[in-house]
Amino acid sequence: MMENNTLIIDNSGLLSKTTLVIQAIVTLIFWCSWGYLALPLISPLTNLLGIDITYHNHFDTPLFIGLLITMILVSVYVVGTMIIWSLYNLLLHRRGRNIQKSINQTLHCDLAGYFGVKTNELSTWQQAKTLNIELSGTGSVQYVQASEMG
Amino acid sequence: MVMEVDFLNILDYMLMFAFYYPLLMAYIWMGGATHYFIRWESKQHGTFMTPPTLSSYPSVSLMVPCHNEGDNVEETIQALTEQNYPNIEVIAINDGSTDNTGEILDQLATRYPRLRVVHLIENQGKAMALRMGAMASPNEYLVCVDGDALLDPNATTWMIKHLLDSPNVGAVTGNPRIRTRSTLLGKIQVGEFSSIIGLIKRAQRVYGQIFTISGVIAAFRKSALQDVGYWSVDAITEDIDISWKLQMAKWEIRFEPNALCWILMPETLSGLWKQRLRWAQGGMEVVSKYFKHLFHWQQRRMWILVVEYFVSALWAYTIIALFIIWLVIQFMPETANNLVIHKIPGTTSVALVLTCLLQFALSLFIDARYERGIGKYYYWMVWFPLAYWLLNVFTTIVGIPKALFRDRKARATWVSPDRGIRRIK
Repeated sequence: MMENNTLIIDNSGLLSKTTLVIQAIVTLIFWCSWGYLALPLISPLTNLLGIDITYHNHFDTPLFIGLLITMILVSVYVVGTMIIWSLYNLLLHRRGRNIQKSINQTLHCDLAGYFGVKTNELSTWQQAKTLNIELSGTGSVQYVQASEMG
Repeated sequence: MVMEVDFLNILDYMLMFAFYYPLLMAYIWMGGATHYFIRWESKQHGTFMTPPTLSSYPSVSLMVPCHNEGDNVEETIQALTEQNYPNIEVIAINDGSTDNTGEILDQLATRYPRLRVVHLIENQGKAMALRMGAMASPNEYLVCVDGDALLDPNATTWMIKHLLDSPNVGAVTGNPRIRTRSTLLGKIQVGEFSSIIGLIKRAQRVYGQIFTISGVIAAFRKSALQDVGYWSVDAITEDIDISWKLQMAKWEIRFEPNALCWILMPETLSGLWKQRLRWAQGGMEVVSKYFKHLFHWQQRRMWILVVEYFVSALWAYTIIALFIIWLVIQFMPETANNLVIHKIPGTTSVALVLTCLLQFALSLFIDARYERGIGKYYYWMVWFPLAYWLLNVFTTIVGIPKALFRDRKARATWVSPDRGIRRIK
């Protein structure tokens, strides 16, 4: 069984220590900026712990509640529409379940016809261990060398 | 005066769109992914390591298109030969490599009896390599894996289950997991793959159509490919193109999160930029290629993808427009004074922070099923909204014109990507 952890290539050790420290610090600063953006939510919590964070509050509680309700309503509306759309797709899928059943196997002659090659040649190529193919400028098969049968 | 008020109103709407659109999309993705998780993932017995028992085990061809993959292809092939699936053959397609990929593949073919090698004399691009692989395969079921990716031993079984159970399923996309996590960019991408790509795939699966399979790991029904004319050789992102072709022909695409595939991703800014620009360009190319066909009533299931795509593109241009306007009004003090600046910290900033934290937590909670210890990446995910949305803006701005003015007849060929900081052997 393939062990996932061995597949992950984390060669952070190849980067310089300065680069690693800068990455970590800049990311931390970024988190702090996110914290700053979320101050209206964070400050009531820190107040409970006795830490008073002073900042110029632009947070408008009624506006936020209004925004939240609007977002929820829009999301419900959009997700609701999507659900109806999904059900419609499901209905189409069930009604059309048998549409493609007739095409369930690619016929050898059809495949050869599509690629513009002879059926018996194609059979040989499909058994070969190695194929060397040369194509024309338009992409049609020009020359095939098959070697060692599989 | 009236004109100025109108301008301010328009600006206000633009600001609202710029701010609320990502928030709304976050809730749509979270809603869809939660539904998917509750409906399917949480009901599964066992984990990705305990694959389901199939009604039969038909032969499967595992196809690996390679171009200059000398450093990676050996472990890729080895992982494929270790699949816990009884009837497999591996077809490696060496697409005109200029390094030692061809010789390595020939050597590996002597070691692994189930490996077959197709050499294309000249570099033809991934789509053509896949087409030749499909031609060389005698099997109805194809699993395509990139030449630098490692497939989990049970992935084939998980994906083939969908193709066996549902005749309408034309393709199944797996769950790419990032291996390269040395730099900050690598770590941010782990978060991105969880909180954006993973959530989007699940949500789109719930809502009906998937924008794209992951080209790095996908299984196909050959009759579905034959029906739509296989991969388009002119598409810069052949995975997006085949996804749209299949779905427009009424084939269903499934997402299988248990089908893990470990991938190498860029770990430099220039590597990441090139990759994402290609994705953005490919998306626009596909939408514009099929645009006129999408107006047909039969294609109504695709409309949701089209709407989402165009609104996202509009959002990217709105951000740039707002930035330009902000720069210009710095020279117009009177107008600048009339602007209502959203003060921070305030209502909107709290909404933004809460939404992002919720999105991170949900995505890592879902992904913990597939990777133990992924929670530690929560620390680095704080970068992700800025990194992802900014990258998205710039790649959209540059990628869309590139897609619209590219020579469509030109064959899309390979460019070897940045693959992160590799192990020292």
